Amino acid sequence: MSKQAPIIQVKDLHKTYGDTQAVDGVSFEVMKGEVFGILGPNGAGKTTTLEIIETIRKQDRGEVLINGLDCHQHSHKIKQIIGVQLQSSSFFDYLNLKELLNLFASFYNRTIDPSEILGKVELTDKANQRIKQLSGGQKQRFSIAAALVNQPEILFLDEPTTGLDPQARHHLWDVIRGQNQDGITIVLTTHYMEEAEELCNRVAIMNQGKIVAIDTPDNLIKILLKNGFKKERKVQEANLEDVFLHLTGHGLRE
Amino acid sequence: MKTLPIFTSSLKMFLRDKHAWMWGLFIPLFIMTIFGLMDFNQLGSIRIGVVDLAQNELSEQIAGALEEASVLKVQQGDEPILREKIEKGDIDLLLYLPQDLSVAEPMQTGQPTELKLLFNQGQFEQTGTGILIVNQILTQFSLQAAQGSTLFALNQEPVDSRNFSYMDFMIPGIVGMMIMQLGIIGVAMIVVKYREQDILKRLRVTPMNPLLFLVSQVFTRLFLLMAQAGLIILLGKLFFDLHLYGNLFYIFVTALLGSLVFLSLGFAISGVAKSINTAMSMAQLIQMPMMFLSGIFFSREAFPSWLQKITDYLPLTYLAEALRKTMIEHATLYDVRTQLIALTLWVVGGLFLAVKLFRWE
Repeated sequence: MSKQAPIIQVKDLHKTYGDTQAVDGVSFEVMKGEVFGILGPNGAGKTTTLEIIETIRKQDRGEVLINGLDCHQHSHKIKQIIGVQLQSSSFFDYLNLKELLNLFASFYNRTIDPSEILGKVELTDKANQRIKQLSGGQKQRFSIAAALVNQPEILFLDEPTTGLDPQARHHLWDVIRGQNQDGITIVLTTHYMEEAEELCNRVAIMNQGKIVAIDTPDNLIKILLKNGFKKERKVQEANLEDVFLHLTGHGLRE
Repeated sequence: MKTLPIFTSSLKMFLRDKHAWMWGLFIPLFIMTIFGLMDFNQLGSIRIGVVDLAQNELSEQIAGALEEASVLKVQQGDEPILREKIEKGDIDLLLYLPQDLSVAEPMQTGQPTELKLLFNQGQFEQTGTGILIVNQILTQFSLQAAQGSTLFALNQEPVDSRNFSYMDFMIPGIVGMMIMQLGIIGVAMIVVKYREQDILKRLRVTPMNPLLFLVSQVFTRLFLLMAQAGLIILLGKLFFDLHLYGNLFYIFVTALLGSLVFLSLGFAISGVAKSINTAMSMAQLIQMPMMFLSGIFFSREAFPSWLQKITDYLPLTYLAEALRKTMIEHATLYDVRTQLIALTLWVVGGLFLAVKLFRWE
């Protein structure tokens, strides 16, 4: 994984909605090939930040560069090289997965092999089904598939595992890791700390529109411990999720 | 940008949308069948009961003459039964042919025999016409008996006139109604749904102009509306005895213009409505009154004049009138220019509202 060149540069981003300062001076860089996580409680400004980078929302102040290009001046070019999974976006009811992927590919003026893309997210056998017939985890995986039709350089995932059961979440992590190993830079938001530790090379923690910390998960924990933090309970070798997965198995239920 | 797949996908979506078929085909056909079974043409006839107390040649001749009059529906029977029927309103007139009915007696005495005729006071139109016909028939008998020479004879020539049935009135209206419902509901529901489910947002992160997508949706919807209108007209002709005299191209132009009105109104609603339920309610709020005020099922002539004047300006009124004229009355586009101009103004107004109110988010 080469991490020399920043692929995304966010500089002093501001966005207000009415009286709410949704994003308040956010700056960070995402390196090519890394998995970058934006963490934070609900309403911290994660989604707004992401949507500004994805070119569908305009900042009040500040600048976003992708591959050195300004996000708004070159939004058309940017859209060609990014793949986006929105937090809760759905797809058209009356088309099957294959048809949906072909339709989305046509938005990029591309011709694709739908089953190849469905293979990447392990949905090959669902090619002729419709969105309605999919489970929550399958929907999220399809959403990622739809974001891959243009062979993007950067993949944005907004809370990809929210609402999924542990098995489906672990499965989605594998899919995300697989895409990253194929060389795609990934920016994701989450409020599962375990997910961030599991997937992200670096994370930014947001609170009330500001970034309060940014580093690798390991470093963030070390800094905290160095400052004398002690957990009440002794850290055990396993947690409840491990128990759950041990009892119910790692296999997907769908 | 590859536009063709976008259009074919839109078409696929609509063809697979069961609701569109229900509103576009099933409901119009259902209404046509129900109203077709009701046979309103029958309602015009006058029901007359005849109590024949004479039971002679003359009384039979008179009863026969009454039966020949096509507007009369004659029932012969006993007095108490028929008396009860007229009291219940099941028949409009009741004629008594008295026992002493003959030609000879009034000739000798110079005093006409009185025939009692009961009539239903509540049914002026039926009874008035009925009394005239009965009178006319009796006069003819008198003249024949008196061997008076007839002064005038009507020389009747049948003309193959276009007799409009109720179906001829209703089917163009139903086509208009279908265009309204699919136009408004179709667009409003789809746009609100796509917005609510973040589909529009998802489209905006692709390099495709989402406007192109909406245009493709409108075009395919228009295409299907025209196909469904054509299908209803065809089925009307095959099964409901629709007298289709019009030029198909004129009908097409009229239907297309009407579709544009309602599609643009659908977009306007989609801009105001925040949820699918609100969109549905707003659509119904516009559609329901128009369905009954625009002369779809019955003529607006029954309205008080102030209501007629107001409903004159409804888009569905213009569309139904123009469709009726182009489909049934041989009208050219020039003949329905008033309606077409009015519809065009509605399109302009609708588009203005749509552009003003439309939101991506």
